[in-house]
Amino acid sequence: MVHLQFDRVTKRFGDVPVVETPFDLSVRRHEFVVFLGPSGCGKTTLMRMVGGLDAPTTGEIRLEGEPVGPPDRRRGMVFQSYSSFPWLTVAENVAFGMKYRTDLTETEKAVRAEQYLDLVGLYEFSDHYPNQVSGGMRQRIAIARTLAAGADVLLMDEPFGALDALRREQLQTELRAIQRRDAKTVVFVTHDVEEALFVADRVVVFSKRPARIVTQIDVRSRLGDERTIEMRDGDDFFALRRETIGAVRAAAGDEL
Amino acid sequence: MRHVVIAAAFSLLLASGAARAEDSRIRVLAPTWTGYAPVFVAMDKGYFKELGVEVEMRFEDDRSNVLAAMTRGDIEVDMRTVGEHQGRPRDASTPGVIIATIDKSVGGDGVISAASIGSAADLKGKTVAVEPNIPARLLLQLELKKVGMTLDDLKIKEIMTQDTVAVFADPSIDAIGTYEPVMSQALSSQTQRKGKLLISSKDSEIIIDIIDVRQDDLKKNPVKYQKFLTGIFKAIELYKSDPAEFIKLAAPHYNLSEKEVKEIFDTSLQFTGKAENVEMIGTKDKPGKLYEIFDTVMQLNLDYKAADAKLEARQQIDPSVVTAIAGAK
Amino acid sequence: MSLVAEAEGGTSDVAGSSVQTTAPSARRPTARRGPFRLRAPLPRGWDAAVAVGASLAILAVWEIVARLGLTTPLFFPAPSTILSTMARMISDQNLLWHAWVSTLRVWGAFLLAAVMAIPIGVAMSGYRVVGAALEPAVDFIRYLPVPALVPLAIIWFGVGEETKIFLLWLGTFFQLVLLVADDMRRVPNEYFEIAYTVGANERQALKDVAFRAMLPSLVDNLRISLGWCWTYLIIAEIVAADSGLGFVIWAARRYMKTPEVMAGVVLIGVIGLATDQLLRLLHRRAFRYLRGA
Ligand SMILES: Nc1ncnc2c1ncn2[C@@H]1O[C@H](COP(=O)(O)OP(=O)(O)OP(=O)(O)O)[C@@H](O)[C@H]1O
Ligand SMILES: [Mg+2]
Repeated sequence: MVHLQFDRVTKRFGDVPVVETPFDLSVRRHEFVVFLGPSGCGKTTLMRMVGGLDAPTTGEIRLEGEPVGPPDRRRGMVFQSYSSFPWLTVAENVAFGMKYRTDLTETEKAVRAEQYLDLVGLYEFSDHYPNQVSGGMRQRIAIARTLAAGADVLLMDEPFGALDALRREQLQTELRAIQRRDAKTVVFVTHDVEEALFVADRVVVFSKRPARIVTQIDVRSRLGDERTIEMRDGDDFFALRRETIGAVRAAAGDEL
Repeated sequence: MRHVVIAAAFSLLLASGAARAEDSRIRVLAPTWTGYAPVFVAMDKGYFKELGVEVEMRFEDDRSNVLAAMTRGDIEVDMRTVGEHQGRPRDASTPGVIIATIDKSVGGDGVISAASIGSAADLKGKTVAVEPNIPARLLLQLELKKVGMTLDDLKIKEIMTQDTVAVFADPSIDAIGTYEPVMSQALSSQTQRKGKLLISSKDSEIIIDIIDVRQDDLKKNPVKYQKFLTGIFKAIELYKSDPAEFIKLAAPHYNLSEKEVKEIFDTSLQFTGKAENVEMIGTKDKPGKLYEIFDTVMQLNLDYKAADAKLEARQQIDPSVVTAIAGAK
Repeated sequence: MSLVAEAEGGTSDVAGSSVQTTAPSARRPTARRGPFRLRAPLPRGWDAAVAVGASLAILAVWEIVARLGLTTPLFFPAPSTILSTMARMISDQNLLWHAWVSTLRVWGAFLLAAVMAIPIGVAMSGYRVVGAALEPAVDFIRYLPVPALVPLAIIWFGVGEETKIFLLWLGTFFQLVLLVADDMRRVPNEYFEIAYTVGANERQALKDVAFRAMLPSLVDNLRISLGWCWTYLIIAEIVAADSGLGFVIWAARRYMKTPEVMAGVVLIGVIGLATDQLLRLLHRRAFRYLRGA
């Protein structure tokens, strides 16, 4: 079932065409889609349009069949930096996701905040400030906040970009597990091929700007639903990785 | 309905209150000069209160600020030297008319110079530091005029008079137009300059402090100003009979010690009481000496373009207040 | 993560740790130890001790120079003279009352400036129209010399308290507006976007996020402009003067009483120093989160 649909979307900033060829893409409910492409090709722009933070120049993006409007809490964003508020504690940051919800009582909010803190493994850091926890924990705060807000589409723009390899791997595994458990639709931007393959159901490979889909890789049919650290050393993963890198190289064209 | 009545009553009360304040209130701005101390003493002694006038006095050295305040109707009275009264931008329509004098400078203003300068004539081509609009500038002009020179024959540097002592330390400065107490301090502290008093207000009559009043208010409340002058003259009487008491009251207003105030009074100035005012101001038919001084100073101001318009003493001096109280006991 | 840009990830923080691990410093070209290494932290408590010690040393040198007669006391009295003058002025000339009056004026004008500058500054960088409309005027007025505007101020506000407050305000407000606008501009867009994507409207995003995010630098800028406000005191308090430290200083200057001038100046400095330290302390207390683990 289609959850999110790009329908002949184009985007230009003044003279700069970011998406020129009308862009079509359907994301199924509960699907984990990764945008993979060279720097500056327009991935962030596409994602921001889903979030309602930018509007397409032509075409339309539909969420559950309805054209998307200004931002709301069904579409949660996790940014690469400034992803949490430094003046709020970890728990308060997570609770901020529910601050403007009128459908929950204060008690319900408190209970949910604890649940999500627990889910992302930050319960014992509840009273810390973001500055006092690691970069990885900060990204988990953002994920928990987005989940607490009740988003069913998670839009993540290179959320693990600044983390070291070990922390990344761990968060990738956690994210994938949470996505499966809570049945979220995820659009995830990265330039890291391994990361893309490890978390995605489907990887969309972009050309350099103006963005165009070069190829799509159905990761799920190759690796299945479950992802474990061990898989990263498997032959299937390696083969897939080589293929993808090939596609990305082709996309980058003569430049490399 | 009741609200309306109450509101109306209130506004009436306020209006009458305001009217009453206008009849009895006088707000004064004057420079930080002890020559205006009689006003403070009359206030402290309760003279004004007895007479039924409310007087407030605050310091303002900058004349343009005073003009602004008077134009706005924020003050009724300004005290200055005659020379400053005449200065730009005053013309016949500028608010402020002279009703009396309060003190004259007797040694309080002057020009000091290096040992090499023997007389005003020696200043030709020399560097002289002086603030615009201070009495010493007029004294200097007057002396130069006597020897056929003007300020244009000198190299004038504009300074802040408070900086006199420091400026005098600079050997490139040949003379400074200044006032007390910095005048004496400069001479006594910068001994290497072997400085001397070249020109002093002691030898001239032209440095006189006057009381300027807003014409519109004077017309409306002439009696108020008669009371005001009466209070001031009474304080000057006190100075003559009991200087220690007068000084004790005056000193704190200037953050000075009694000794310092006494010294200034003894060496720099002389208050002009009722008798002197009767003589200086005269009457409508028989103008006093101030008119002549006014014209002399006016000419000096015009010569050096410190004033634009030639002002008529008869229009700028209003003898009615002094005349009115001249006969009283 | 704070507004003061800081690299993500684990930078081991400097505050507090005085003992250096040997490995990295051994490889540095100059393996100098102690406080004179570039950006080396000071042991706890040293900051205050060094500050007090250095200040006392300056005072001592000054005192000695003055006592030896190397300066003219007329212009540069010894600290001890200034201190005893100050004591006398406190007992005889109501110096503390004047200081209190000045403090009230400065704070009055400063709070007025802050209350106006914060919303206007926020609006200026939040809404381009407002910014475009006001920036030229603010930039222009900001450069005007306050003393030259005194007569104008009197025409508008008379010779009462209003003019003094206005002049102090004039020296503060226009600078502050731009600083506030800048603080607001530095709030990362991401913060607004986070707020919007959890359902906040613009007003809520401004109030709950942007304002909160800019608060530490806002408080810092307020502290700095409070200092400026004090520097306009003389200009404001010699207009139709009857009270305040500016008046005391000016009157003493008229009669060349340098120790009294200096006593007044020093008192302003002391009040400034005390206020500044207090505000810094409050800043540290209120914004603990800015410091890392
Ligand atoms: N607001 C804007 N105004 C003008 N140009 C913009 C704006 N936002 C993005 N662009 C331009 O659009 C292009 C695509 O930007 P975008 O951020 O979407 O790329 P990206 O694929 O996310 O790159 P990266 O991998 O470096 O994050 C870039 O050339 C960028 O300079
Ligand atoms: Mg991007």
